[in-house]
Amino acid sequence: MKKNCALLSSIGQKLLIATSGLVMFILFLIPHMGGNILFLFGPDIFNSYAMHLHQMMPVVIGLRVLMLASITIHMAMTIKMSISNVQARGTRLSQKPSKERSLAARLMPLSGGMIFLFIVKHLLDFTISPPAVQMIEIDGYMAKDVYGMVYTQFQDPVQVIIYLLFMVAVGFHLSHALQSAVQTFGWYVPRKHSKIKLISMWVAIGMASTFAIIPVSALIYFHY
Amino acid sequence: MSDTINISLKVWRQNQGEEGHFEVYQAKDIDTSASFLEMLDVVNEQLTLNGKEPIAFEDDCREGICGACGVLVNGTTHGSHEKTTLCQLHMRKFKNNEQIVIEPFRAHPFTVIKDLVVDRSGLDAIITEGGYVSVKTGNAPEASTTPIKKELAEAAMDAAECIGCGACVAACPNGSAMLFTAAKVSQYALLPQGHPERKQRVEGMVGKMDELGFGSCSNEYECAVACPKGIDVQNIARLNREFIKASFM
Amino acid sequence: MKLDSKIPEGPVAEKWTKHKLNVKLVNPANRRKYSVIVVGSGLAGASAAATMAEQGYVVDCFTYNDSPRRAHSIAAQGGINAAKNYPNDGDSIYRLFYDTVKGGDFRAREANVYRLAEVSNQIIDHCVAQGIPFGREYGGYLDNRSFGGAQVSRTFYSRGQTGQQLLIGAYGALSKEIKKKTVTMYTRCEVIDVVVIDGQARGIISRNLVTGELTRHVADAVVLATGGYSNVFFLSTNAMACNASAAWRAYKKGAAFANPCYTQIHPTCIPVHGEYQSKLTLMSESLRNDGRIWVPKAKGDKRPANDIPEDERDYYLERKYPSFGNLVPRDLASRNAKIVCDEGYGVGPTGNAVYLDFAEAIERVGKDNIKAKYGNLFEMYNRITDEDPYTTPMMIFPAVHYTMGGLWVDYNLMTSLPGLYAIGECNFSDHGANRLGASALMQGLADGYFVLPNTINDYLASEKIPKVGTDHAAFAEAETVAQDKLDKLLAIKGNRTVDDFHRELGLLLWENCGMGRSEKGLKKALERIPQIREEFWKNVNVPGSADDLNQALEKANRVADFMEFAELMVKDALERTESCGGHFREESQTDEGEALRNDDEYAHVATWEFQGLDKEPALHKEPLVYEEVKLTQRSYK
Repeated sequence: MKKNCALLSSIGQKLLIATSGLVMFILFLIPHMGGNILFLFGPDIFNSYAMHLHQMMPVVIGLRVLMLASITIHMAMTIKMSISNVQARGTRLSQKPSKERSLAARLMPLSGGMIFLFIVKHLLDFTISPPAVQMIEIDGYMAKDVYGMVYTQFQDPVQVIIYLLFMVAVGFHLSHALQSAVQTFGWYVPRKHSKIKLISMWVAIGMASTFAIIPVSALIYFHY
Repeated sequence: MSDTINISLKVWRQNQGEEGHFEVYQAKDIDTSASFLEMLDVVNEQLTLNGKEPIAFEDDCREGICGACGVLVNGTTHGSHEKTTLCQLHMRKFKNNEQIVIEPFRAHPFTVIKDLVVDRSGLDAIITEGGYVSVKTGNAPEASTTPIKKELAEAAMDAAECIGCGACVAACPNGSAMLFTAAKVSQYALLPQGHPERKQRVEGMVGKMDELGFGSCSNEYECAVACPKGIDVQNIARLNREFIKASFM
Repeated sequence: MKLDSKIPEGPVAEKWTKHKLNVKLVNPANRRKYSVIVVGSGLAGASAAATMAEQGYVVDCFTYNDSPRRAHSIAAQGGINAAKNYPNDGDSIYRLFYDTVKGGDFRAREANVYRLAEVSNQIIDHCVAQGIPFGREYGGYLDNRSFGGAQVSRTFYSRGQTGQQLLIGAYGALSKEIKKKTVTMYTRCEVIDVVVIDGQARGIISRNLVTGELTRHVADAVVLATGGYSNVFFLSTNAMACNASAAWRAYKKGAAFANPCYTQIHPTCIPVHGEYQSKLTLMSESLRNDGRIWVPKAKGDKRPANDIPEDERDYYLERKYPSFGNLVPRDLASRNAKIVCDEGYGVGPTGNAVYLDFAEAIERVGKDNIKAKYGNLFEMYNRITDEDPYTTPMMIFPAVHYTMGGLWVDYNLMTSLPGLYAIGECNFSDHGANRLGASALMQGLADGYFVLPNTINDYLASEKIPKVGTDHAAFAEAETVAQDKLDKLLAIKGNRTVDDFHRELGLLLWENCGMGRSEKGLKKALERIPQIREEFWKNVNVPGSADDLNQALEKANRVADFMEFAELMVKDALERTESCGGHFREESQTDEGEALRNDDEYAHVATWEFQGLDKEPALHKEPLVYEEVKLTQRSYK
């Protein structure tokens, strides 16, 4: 089988989805989470992090291009695959899902779609059309008060609830996605009584909660 | 020792080339020690004597090994008794006055031939593309020439237990034949006899699977729950790896 | 009819090698000009079709199932014998040969059996090369077990699914040839008749079970690998659709039928539960290695097994056969179960069952050990009966399991109809009057992989086989006859179902031509069978039409043949007044009630030739000449 044919086969498509998903997970989601945690350490540290990030613009742009490509592949392949899967299933009138099939797995298209909407909203909120931002001085440079911007945004409980809902989607998506990727890459994990599903679930819960701490803390806890 | 129950059956009826529909039949005084297929036999006898066409369903060995039988019973392939084929499901698993919904195995490549009988020849077509070792009769060396680790032989046997009933396809939300294909690919990936052809095998079988319109695996593992022989989804991981090796390495 | 067994001259150990040198060969370039039809895709059929296709012949293979992999060979549990002598316990080709001839109660052809033992080793080599996961030891080498009371460990196995694994191997070989388009596979196609032109088998009429269409297929030779006829008894361990139709139609077209009365009744099956019962489930006879068989000492004792004290139990096999005890051969174990049940000691709701008790074994070696050995069988028993064999004794009863009789074949496996071959259980050749455990798989694969592909050349190369087409009048005639028969079955629309008739016939045979047979019973059956048959043709109800999937019609067509075949089986049983192997004639027993063979009058193959529907079939006797083996009376006391 030629390589491009192999990539478009059912397993190939899954590999593309898993790879693009893992790229986003490792190169974007984990660093982004690391950066966000700094919000808890106050405006100085968080704004300094934002400024340094801004100074590495070429790297950031590179990552953005990679993200865009990953999202495109991830979604295009998923949509393509889902359509053919619906066709392959045919009409079933009485079938019931078993306990093995987790809610997370069944909600993958929904959680995926929500994450996409969230990314759009998130970019609109903070990157594409951010609200007017104060300029502050850090280490002799003038920089944006990103901390203030985030803090202001999350003073609105509606925004916080929307953000939290999206984080639930992220959690659900990851909890199926991580163990699924392990399977798709064929890393041998004995499935019977295996902990892989449990590990995948806890990593997902951990990451989604970490992201969720920021708006919650902005709303109820920290007042600098 | 055995009691009798009354049940009502909501059964899918479909003639060749026509649309199907559910019909409801009453089955009275069914012995609870009868098997599910024996219950259908009884219903069919009654239908015949009442001048109706009996329900067409597939079966043969009735001891859980030939893989011919299989329908959705109350929405579950082969019924809900785990690791049991339909022919070994017994009526004691059902309650008096229960309604049992019986639907054929559904998937796009499994067209309904009549009533509960579906065309599963796609599974054979997948095997034809490489689910074997190409050894001609007479070619074989002495059987004990190559020792094989017991663990590998056992794992290969675990995979080889597949009976080709198609429950995995019917249970998969994507109508995928990955578990079926994986079981065969795994058996030969684990044994040295299968190694010379492993590349052609996995590419051929996966290619055929796709060509016939089986869906792809979304790792939800309904197949493993449905499998009456307990084939593990670890085999799918192995299939994926075989495929990656064959195509990209 | 002249029966020439064509057994080669010379010492038994050299016959096969010599014969292979003497048979005519077809030039490899010419083989694609010859076509062969193989009916059946079990171990024998699939392996023969694949191997002949490898050699270059054009092969058409037919199965009534939706896939070749569903053939009933798949259900064999125990294993496959071979004379490898890996355990170094004194086995050899000669010993396997001797055991098989003796086990068959000296009613099999020496030359055939020797050949079977000889090729047994090649079968294992081939199957291992195919990637069949046989059981192995920790060193990585093949494991063997002792099976069916054999004195050596010569049985290769794949857990409890050896038949499945071997069949899937043969199905793989077949698939490989289907891929190359050297075999054309016809699934869901049932063979309705064999077509004979100028005294040669030249093709078949098949019915597409989905469309009902009858089609004609022409070839230079036809191979029947259609299995046995156990289902004539209605209840047996065979698959639901196993049938004798193709063999029976061949018989009516001139192929002689040999030893139809030889049927094997397996002692360890799950007993019949009720009227609705559709088939019987066999459990491996390895269970008898640890289980003790008993019935209550009091007739009609209805107490639960565990409430019956030790001294009120009769371990009848241990009592009657102290040296072999529960491990006596299949025929003895079966017959004794019937005897105690007939006398009123049977247990269970029907009184037709005996206990197989593991309590003592569990106490001796522990539950875990028993579980490791028989766990899957106990699980199966529990699934079917809802009882726990670890705490309550199993109930077992014998069931019809295998038929040693079949189409008569010569050393080349050709029937008495030129160009028609019969392989596997379908023929009569290798097991005599009783088959040993783990020998059926061996014979099916021996015939298919190694024997037939080496002997069919002889016919194809030496006979004049004129070109004919499916437009030949013989095809048209066979098709019309077949169509008329189907139409007739559909037109009756009587008051009884096919199963109802089949059940009545089966019960009659089970009572009178089962484990014990007497002149009185057989004559009664012989009187009754034509009556049932007559009523069948007047009062059967076959719903539906002939032009789509109609399972009732398929069944009716098979049962119609069983109705005729049953009569021949009973005739043969009546004719053989001796007891031998699976055939126990009550008139022929020792003072102690054991089977008494009569070598002076019955050391022959009883071969029946069809003479016409209303005429008595002609009996031809092929004498069995023993050059190597000395005939002895079996004793297991």
